[in-house]
Amino acid sequence: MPYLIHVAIQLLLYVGLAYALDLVLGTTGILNVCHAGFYGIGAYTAAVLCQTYHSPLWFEFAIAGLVAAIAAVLISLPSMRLHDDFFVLASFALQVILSQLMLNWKSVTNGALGISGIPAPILWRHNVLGKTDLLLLTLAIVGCIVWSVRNLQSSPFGRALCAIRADEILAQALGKPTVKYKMAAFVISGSLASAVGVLYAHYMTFIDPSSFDANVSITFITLVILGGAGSRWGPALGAALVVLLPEGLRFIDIPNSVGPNVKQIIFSVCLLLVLIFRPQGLAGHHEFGRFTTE
Amino acid sequence: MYFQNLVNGLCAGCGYALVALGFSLIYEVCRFFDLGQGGIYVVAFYAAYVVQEWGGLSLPKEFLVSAVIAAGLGSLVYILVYHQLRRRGARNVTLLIASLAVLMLLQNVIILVFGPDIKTIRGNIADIPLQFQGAHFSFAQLFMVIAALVVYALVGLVRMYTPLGRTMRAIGNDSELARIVGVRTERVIVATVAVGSAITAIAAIVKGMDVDIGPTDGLSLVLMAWVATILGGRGRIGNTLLAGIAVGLIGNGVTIWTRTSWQPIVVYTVLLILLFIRPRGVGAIRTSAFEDR
Repeated sequence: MPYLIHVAIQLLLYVGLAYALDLVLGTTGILNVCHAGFYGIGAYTAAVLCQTYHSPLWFEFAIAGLVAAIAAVLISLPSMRLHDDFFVLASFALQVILSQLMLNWKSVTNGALGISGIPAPILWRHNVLGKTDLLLLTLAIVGCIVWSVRNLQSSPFGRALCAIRADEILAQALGKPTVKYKMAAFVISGSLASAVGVLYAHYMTFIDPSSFDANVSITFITLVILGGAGSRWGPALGAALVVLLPEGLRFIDIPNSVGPNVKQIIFSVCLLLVLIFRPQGLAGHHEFGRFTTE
Repeated sequence: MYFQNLVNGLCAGCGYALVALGFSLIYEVCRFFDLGQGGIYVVAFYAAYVVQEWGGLSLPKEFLVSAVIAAGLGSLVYILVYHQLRRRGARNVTLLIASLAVLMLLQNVIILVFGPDIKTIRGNIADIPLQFQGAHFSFAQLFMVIAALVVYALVGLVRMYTPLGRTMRAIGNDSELARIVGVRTERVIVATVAVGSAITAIAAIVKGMDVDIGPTDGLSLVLMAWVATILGGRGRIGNTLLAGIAVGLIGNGVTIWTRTSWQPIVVYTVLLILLFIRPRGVGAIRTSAFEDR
């Protein structure tokens, strides 16, 4: 049972992250390589706030979201105006900067050793103890995230984002402030990812920089595209694949030392195959990253 | 002290510039950043490592074997992945993601075969200490500068005076028009990818003579090359060299005031500021280098 709860929480966290990323990658069609960075901002903010100041959960969400939003604005201000390739590089740069800060800002993040012993989250003066309660809490928060992303996608704002994905110049010609919209999508996505990071820190009670580096960002991109970028159930399906496949691999005899590498190889091959032969993803309807006449 | 930093920065910068050259050649004709070159870089280094372990080959032959393997792998990846994607009308974003996947694939295959530890191909000659005006450097560092200058000069000549170079520039200018006047674009692109990968292989060995390299070093290096390519501007080889050296100098200049580990943070922050001031790339003159396509 504890094992099932563990898998369930992991799955929920990934689903939340996938939908947050899908707002940028699937709906708007921009490649964002620092999703794990935002996720890390959330986790580290929660860890520091909770350990040092015993702050309540809502306060951690607020501060984590704010920090992530500031980072997102800083990075998108210079790069969103430019061609999308620049934005990819800028987001890559932000990912490296954040990873290096986690490694080197030792007084706050404790460097490569990471922060351990993160206390349980405080909800209305009560500690949320026990894995089942944490599962319910995660379910509620991730449910909110998925619900709000789905709602955003079908709102006028979301339709404008879809228009940007299909043809940015056309969207501009229709009077949509495309740069502002792209920035808004990016900032919202970053804040949501940081909220998931808060949950992750409280659940794992231990965080270190390796959980938030560029490889993790690439995994998130992989899972969204595998499932189907910009589709209703695609991100959830992708998250399920990425969480459940390693659990499945556990039953096959693969030495622990090479397990992550085998996983990465399988994912990269799957990603390439999906990009070439099924660009709409496993559950998707629109072809990701193709010149289409939507 | 400052002079020593300058020398170190120059040597490191030439290393970046070499990787950036292969990278920007491919970028010029394909119009996307082939991050998979990071994987080619690692594979080329390990090819040289295997050749050295087996022994019996001189340094030039080691370069040749590694460059041929890299060129073959690079063009194979192009034909199997990028060409298929482009044929099906993929956008740049898709090609970028695919190149990331290629990078992860090659990197993890190498880890699976050789293990995650760093490997060395440093010979005895590489460590010969040299001195100039009070600055100390190794023979390997000097070799890096010389190799960069030679390769850049060769590539410049090829670009200017050979049919391949002319068609490369033509495709870089306007691939549609090049096709109309009879350039076999796909062939030229594959040839360019092969040349670019071979240069990446040379960069890998030259760097490997100076420092030990591990399977996960490809990503950070290719990011530096990406920075240099953008700062240099598309299709401007000389600027790419200068931009690569500039990246090396900035990175090493940082170490005067702070620890080495802060180097990436400063380099990328500088990059972001530069992008803000000069969105078209610092070296680019009024070209349509980064316009929407």
